[in-house]
Amino acid sequence: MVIGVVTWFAGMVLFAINMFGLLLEMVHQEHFAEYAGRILHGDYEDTEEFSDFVRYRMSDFLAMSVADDMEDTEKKREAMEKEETYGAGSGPEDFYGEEDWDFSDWEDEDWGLGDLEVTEENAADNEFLDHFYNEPETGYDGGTKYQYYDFYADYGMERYDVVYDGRWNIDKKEAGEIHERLRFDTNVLYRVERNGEVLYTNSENLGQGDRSGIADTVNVDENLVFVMPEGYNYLLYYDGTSLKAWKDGKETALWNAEYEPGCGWYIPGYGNIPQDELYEGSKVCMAVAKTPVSIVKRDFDGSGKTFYSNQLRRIDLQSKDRAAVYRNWIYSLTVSLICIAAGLFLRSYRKQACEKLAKVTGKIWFEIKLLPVLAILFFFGSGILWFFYQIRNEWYGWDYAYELFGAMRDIYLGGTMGNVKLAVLFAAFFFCCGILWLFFVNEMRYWIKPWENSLTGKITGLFRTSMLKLPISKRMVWYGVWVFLLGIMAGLFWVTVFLFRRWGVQMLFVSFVLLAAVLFFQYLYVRNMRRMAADMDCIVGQIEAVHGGNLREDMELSESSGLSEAMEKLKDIRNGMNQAIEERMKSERMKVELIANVSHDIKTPLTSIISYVELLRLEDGLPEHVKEYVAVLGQKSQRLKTMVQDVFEVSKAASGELPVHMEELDLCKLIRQTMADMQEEIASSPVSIKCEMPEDAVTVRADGDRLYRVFQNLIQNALKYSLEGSRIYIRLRVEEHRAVTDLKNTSREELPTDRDFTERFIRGDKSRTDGGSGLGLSIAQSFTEACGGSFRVETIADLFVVTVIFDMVF
Amino acid sequence: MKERILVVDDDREIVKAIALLLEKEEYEVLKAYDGMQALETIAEKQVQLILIDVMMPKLDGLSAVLKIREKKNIPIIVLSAKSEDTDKVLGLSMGADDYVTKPYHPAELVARVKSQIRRYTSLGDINAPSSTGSIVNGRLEFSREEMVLYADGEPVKLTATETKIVDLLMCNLGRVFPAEEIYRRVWNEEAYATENTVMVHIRRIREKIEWNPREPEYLKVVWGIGYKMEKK
Repeated sequence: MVIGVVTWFAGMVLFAINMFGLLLEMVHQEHFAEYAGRILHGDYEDTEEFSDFVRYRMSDFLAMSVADDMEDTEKKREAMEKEETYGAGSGPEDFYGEEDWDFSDWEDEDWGLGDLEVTEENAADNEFLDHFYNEPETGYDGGTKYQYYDFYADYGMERYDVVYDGRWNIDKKEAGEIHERLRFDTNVLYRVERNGEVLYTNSENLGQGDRSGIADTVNVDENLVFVMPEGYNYLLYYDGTSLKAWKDGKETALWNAEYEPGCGWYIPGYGNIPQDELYEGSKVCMAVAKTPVSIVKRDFDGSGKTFYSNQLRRIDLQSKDRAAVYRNWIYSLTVSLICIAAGLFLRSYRKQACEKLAKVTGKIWFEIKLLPVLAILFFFGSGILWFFYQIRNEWYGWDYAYELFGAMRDIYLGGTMGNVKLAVLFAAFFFCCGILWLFFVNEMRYWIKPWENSLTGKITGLFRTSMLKLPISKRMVWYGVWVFLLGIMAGLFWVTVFLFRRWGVQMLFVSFVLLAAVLFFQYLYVRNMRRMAADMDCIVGQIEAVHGGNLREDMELSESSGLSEAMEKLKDIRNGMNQAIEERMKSERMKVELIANVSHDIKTPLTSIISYVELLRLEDGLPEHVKEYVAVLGQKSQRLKTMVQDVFEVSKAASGELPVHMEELDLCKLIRQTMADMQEEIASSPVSIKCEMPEDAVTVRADGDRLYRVFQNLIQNALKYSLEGSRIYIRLRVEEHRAVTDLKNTSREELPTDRDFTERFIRGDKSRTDGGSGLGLSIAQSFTEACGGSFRVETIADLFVVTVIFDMVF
Repeated sequence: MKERILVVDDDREIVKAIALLLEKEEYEVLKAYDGMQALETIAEKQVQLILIDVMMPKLDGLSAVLKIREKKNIPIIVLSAKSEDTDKVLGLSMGADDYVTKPYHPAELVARVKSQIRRYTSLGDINAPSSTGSIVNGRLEFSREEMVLYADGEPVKLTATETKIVDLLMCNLGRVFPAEEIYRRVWNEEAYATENTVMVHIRRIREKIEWNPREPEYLKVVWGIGYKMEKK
């Protein structure tokens, strides 16, 4: 399982890294396949660089051979400078062009080369490297031993100066100087002949016929057998018309190269260069060492400058180095493919492992997961910065943007930034990509949200819970204080910056970050406040709903709201009320039911009583006193009947189940009608009624039949309990859109002050002998309320006042 | 021949009382004490009217009414202690012709019985065309030619003013007249403090035409608005 994942993961990363490098190299190298083949062969003499080197060197020798024949070199040089046909503009870069190798990282190179051991043999290498790397200690000016290296150092002169019209134009003196420099380079043995005369050579023994220490021979043609000195296996021979090369005694060919003006070499009869009669008398042979050594070190011109010549040695080392890189790629790719194959083979395990891994990585803080993202961003950021730098400073705008690939390849192969190998950065990039895949893609695949487990979240969560423990008022204050403090800090910062005028890019950036932070926290604060306000609205709404009698509707607060506790308590209160009211309603309903049943049970025997009383009444020949009894029975049974009916209706009205038919009616008229209806009772009573009402109709909305009962009961009540000879005052007036009717009468008995007269079965006295059912006021009240009016009873000394109030209709 | 009335109630005393009342009015009374008995009796004998209680053992009154209505067209008066409007509506919609709540007024009950029997035997159909020129409203009939009001077929003695009021109300059945308007149209005078005057006359007419003047069926007060003759 673990193997499956590790191999898969490692394989993918390895594959990506190496393929990336390989692709860069493939884009860069024109003849990649051939190049790679030769490089892998491991022979530096097979490399393109080697070919270039010998071409240049041969060209130099040719130029030396014809130096005597050149005339007016100075003149030509001046003319050239005026015309600027070649050279000056294109500059040294073009001279060796892309073939410039960057040798900067030999020390750190671990692409298979291994460290250079400091031995007698390579001590010179190390010295060279030291000089090359380290800036001259004494600086550029006034140093006695100004050490530098450049590619022209082998010659000790500015080469482009001598190019004219394709040919090398140097005079005899310069040729001698070159010879002085080159003859110490034992890696290349040479002999330059002109018209059969040997002009320059660094090896007296090099040449035909010398068979001492024969290692090898080369048959240049049937007339010429060339004997190779020991340790040298590569021969170049220019016979005046063409260039031939032998390696290990067999004829071989250089890498193809097209001559073009300013390319830095000129070999008539070679490649696309036509033959030149000037060179026909020149014969140059060059033997190149099989294993080049370093170093030629000498103060050539007595100027204190030290020159080195070890190009071949470098080419050799670099080709081995490159071969090592290529081998490395091959090994790595092979390994990665094996790993991927293993991963594929173990993919069923891999899936399980990935799931487990996802669970494990899911526990990692999100912030840590973001690190690779930051790394990649950094990588890209620096890459882009570098890119723009290159465009501006190196590529002269976009004209040379194609250099990008080459540059990336160079970075990949050897670039450093400080002591960090840039190639490591590439590797890190792909590693980061892999880690990202692990953290995000893999987790998401198993439904784990990578951002859920974050340190920030935990801290804010802790913070929030600790805040939630505070009471809401304190919390609100704290939020405010924090935002305020942050604002003050930001303000102070800006003031400081302004005062000290330290506006740099960094300050600007910090300011923006600070501003963003302040705005963010302000936003959070406002959002928090808004939510709080919404919650408060919600609570107020709920309170109003409860107050308004809506006991069912629930308003919801957000989970984390600080007011949720208060809301819960409010809901408890509401539920308690709701329950209490429901229970009361239930008990009222039960009461009504009970009363309905009881009244029904009373009605049945009452029917019999009434029926038989009637039969008795119809009986003839009853004595007078018996008829009196029967009359009493009749009266009382009728009263019983009314009472039963009243009790039933009052209980119904009290439980809100009394059916009402609301209509618009004139309250004045209703009272007049009621009085007219009761005219006989009023006339026969010892009291009189005084009525005071507006002339206009007073329109209210009520159930006429019920309201009639209200006033009937009120008037009956007043008639029954009023002092003889007193007056009952009925007054109807309009007050603030309300119809207020009051009915005042003077009580015959002393009125108790501690009694609710509207309670059922309550009368002024407790004896219950005066014929009232005790329900009159109760009915009046419950019917008034059923019709939507309000009913009030008050006593002022002996004055009994009932007030009925209805809203008026317009 | 005597009309035969079936009285059904599980309370034997009530049945007996009703029987005595009706026998005084020269009716023949059959008795039953539950719904089943009532159905059996009807199957055996011809009856002209049924008085039936609602809550009874074995078969309740309303179910019995439904069963009877499947075959017979005889008038049925339901007697019930249930006095709710809904109960009344239910009873009448089950096929009863009248609904009397207990405890009933004996005289009223007898009047209702008489009315139903007369309609069933002599008038036959409720919707039978009446004599020309007269307005029929339930058991009231007002002849405009004679200016005479008949209640249950009997002429009612009314004073001239009462006759005018009855004329006005019978000609506009169901319409509510404020007291002022009645006064203006009957007395031909401008109305002032008319409520008492009109009410006195209304009450007197009620006493002459209603079975129970305290719970009028025809001449009604619309409280807070006026007076009207209920349309039956």
